[in-house]
Amino acid sequence: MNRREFIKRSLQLGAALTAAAKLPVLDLVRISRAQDKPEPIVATGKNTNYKNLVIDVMDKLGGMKAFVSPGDVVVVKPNLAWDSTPALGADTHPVVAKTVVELCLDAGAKRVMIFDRTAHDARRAYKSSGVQDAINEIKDSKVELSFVEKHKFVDVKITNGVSLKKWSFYKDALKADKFINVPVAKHHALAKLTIGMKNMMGVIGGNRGDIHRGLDQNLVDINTVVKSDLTIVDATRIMVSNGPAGGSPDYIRVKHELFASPDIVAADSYTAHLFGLKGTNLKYVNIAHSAGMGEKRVDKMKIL
Amino acid sequence: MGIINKRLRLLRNVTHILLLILFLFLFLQTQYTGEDILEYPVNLFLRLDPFLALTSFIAARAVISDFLISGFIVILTLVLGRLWCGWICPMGTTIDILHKVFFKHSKRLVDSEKFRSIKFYLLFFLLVTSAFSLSLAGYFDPISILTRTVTLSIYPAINAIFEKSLLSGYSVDISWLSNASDYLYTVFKEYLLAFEQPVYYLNFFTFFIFFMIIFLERYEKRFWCKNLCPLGALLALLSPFALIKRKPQKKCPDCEGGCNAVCKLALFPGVGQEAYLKNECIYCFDCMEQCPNQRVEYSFGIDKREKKGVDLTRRGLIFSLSAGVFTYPLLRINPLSETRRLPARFVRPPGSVTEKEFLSKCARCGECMRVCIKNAIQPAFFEAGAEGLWTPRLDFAIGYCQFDCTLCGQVCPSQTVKRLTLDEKHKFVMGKAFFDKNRCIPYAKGIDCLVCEEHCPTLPKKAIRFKKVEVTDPDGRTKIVKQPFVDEELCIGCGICEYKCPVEQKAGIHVVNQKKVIKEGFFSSGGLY
Repeated sequence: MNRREFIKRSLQLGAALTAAAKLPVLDLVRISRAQDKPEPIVATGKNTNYKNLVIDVMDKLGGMKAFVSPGDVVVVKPNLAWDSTPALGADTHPVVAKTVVELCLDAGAKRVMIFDRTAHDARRAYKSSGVQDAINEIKDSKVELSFVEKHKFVDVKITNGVSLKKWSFYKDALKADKFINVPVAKHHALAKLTIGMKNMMGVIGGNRGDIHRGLDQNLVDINTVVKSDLTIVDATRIMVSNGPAGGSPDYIRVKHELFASPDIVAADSYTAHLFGLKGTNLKYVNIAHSAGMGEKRVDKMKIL
Repeated sequence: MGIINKRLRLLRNVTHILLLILFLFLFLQTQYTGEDILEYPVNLFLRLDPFLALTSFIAARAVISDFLISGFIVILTLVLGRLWCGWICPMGTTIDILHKVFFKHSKRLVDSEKFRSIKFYLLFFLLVTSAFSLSLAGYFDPISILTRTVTLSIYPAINAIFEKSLLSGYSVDISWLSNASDYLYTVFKEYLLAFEQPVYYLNFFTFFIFFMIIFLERYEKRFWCKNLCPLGALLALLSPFALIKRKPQKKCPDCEGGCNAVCKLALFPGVGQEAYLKNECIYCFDCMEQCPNQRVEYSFGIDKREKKGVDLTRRGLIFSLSAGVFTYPLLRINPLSETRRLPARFVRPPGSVTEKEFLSKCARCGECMRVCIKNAIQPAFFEAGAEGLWTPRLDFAIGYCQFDCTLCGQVCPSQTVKRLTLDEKHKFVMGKAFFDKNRCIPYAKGIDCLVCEEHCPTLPKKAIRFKKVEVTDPDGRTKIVKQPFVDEELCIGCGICEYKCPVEQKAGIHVVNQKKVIKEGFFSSGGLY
C-alpha cells in the first residue's frame, strides 16, 4: 500500500466511523431500582471511631448486604464539592467514605465507583477532602475513584418532574445497580440545610446555578431520576453557619454521629434536629413527602 | 589544548533534543499536581535567560533574585561562546526540527547577509527601552515566545485534537468502541492531556508570530537565530574571548565555500578570504562533520584573531537608540497613564505588584496563564495599553481564582506576580465585587438565588451575605427575598461569584479592579499606581 492509497483508505474508514457515530445514542431512561416507598427506618450511632461508627450503624440496618447484592455495580456518592480539609467539614469525612466503600466490597460488589461533580476545582477538592487518599489506600481494582468527565453526561427526560422536565445526568450514576448517597450535614443559606437530597446536585450536569431558582422543587425532581438506595448522613461534624463552603473550624460543631436510612427524605428530615430545626422546616422535605418519596414525620419513623 | 572530538556533534544533537524534551516536560509539570507547591523548577529556561534577566534588572532598577541563575549562562558564554543557541535553546531545537520537516530543500537567499545585524539593533533598542522602564523584552525573547506559544496556542490545540479524536468513538452505540474510546482517553489524560480543555484569548495571534518565525526558515536556515534573536545578539557580544578555536579560520581556496552552505548560521559569508564570524558560532559542529576533506578541527585555546564579529553601522545604532527613546512616550504617555485608570474590569492576578512596576517587569511568558488551575488568567490585548499586550489578567467569565491556590506566584520568573503564602493570598485584594442590580436575579426578578453567597470563600466570614427584604416582584406580589450584598472590607475579588452567577451573557455581579474600600471619612492619596 503506498502513501496515497493509505490516505484514501483512512479517509474511507473515517467516513464510515462518522456515519456510525450518527446512530442514535443509548436510551437511558432509568428503571427505578429503589422501592417506590422505602421503609422509614433511620439507624443512628455515635462513636469517635468513625470506622466503627459506620459499621455499627449499618449493622442496625442489617449490614451492607441488605443493600448491596453480590455482583452489583455500586456508586458511592460522597460530597467532595469543596477544596477544604476534613476538619473544616465541607466534604464527607474520608474515613466515612472509605468505610462505606469497604463495606460494599465486603457485600460482594463487582465495582464501586466514587465521584462527585465538584464546585471548586475537582483535583483540589478530591485531594484536600482527604477522600482521594483514603480511597486509594483500599488498593482494590474493583474500586474506581474518578473525576467527572463532561462527555459522560446524558440528557434525561424527567417523567415525574414538576419544575424540571429535562436535565443532564451523569451516566455512571444512572447505570449503577445501587446508589449510596453519603452526604455531610451542613448549613445552606438558600435551602437552610444541605444533606442527602441536595447532595444529588453532584450527579447532574448543566448550569447548576439555574437549579437554585426554585431550588426545593428542583431538588425533588432530580431525586426522582437518581434514587438513593441508601443515604448515609455524615454528621461526625456538622457545619452550622457559612455553609455550604465553610472555610473555618469556627463554623463546625463536632458530633461524632452518623445516620443511615433507605429513605432519603427520612434521613434529611431526621438530621435537621442537629441544627435545632425540624424536617418540616425544610421545603424540599415537605415537597418530597407530599410526592410520596419518603417520610418526613419523625414520629412515623423507626429510629434505631 | 586538545582537539575536540567529532563525536561531539552527536552529543550536541542529543543534548539539544533532551533539553527540548526537558522544556516540554517542565511545561507539562506547570500545573497543579496534588499539592500547592510545584515539584519542579518549571520556569527554569526563562530564569536561565540572561537577556530577560538583564532587561528586567534595568527596567525594574533592581536585581530580581530568581534571575540570578542566568549568570551561569553568562559565564558559560564568556568561556565557551554562544553555546546556548546550539546546545540549549529550546526555540533553536524547535526551529531545527521544523526546518528538517518542512523546509529541508529550501535554498538560502542570495544576499541574506545584510539581515544579520538586525538582531544587534533590536537588542540595543530593547536595552534603551528598558532604561526607560519599558519591558518589551518578552515580546522578542525566544524563551518567552516559545513558552507563550506552547501555552496559549500549541498545547490547547494538541489537547483539542487528541480529546476530540479519542472521544469520537464514545457516543457510538457500540459498547466495545465506546469503552475503548473512554479507556484511551483516560490513559492519554493521565500523562499528556489537560484536565480540562484550556482556552485562551489571542491564541491565534500568538501562534501566528511563532508561525512567521518558522516560515522564515523557507528563506534561510535559522533565520530567526541568525538575524533577529536579541538573546542571540547578547550572547554573541559576550563571545569574543571564548576559548574555542576553529581550524581553518577561513574558507579553503580549493573549496567552493562548502562550510557556508552547511553552517546553520552562514558564518562564512562573502567571496573573499576573511575569517569566519567566530562570535556568532553556536558550536553545532555541522561543518566538522560534513567537510568532504575532513579538514575542520575545533580545539580549546585562546583565539587571537582580530575579525570576529558583525560590523554595525553608526547610523544603525543611532536609529535604534532614537527608536528606543521615542518608544517611551508612544507607549507610556497615554490616557491610561495620565488618568491612572485601567479599564474597570481589568484585574491582575493575586500577588501582582503595582501596575507601573508590573509593566516594567512582566516577561509576557504566559507561565501564570499555564499554571492557573481554573484557566482564569488570560493574556491582555490592548486593555492596559499597547505595552500591556500578553500581560496577565483575570477573566471571570472563563474561570475564577481558587481561594487556596498560590501557583501563579510560584512560576513567575520576574516575580511580577509575587509568591504569596496561603495567609497572604487569602487577604490579597485583586479587586472588589459589585452587584449589577438590574441583572442580579433577587433584585431584578424578586426570586431567591444566592449562588454567589454559597460560593464566597472569604474569611473570617463570607464577603457576600444577604438580607431578607420584603419586595414587590414584577408581577405585583409582595414577598420576602434574600438579597445579597458585598462586604467590601472582606471581598478580595477572587471572582468565583461572577463565574458561578447563573445569569447568562453578563453576570449579575462583577469584580472591578478597585482595591480601596469606600467609606465615610477615609481618604488617602494616589490611585491605582
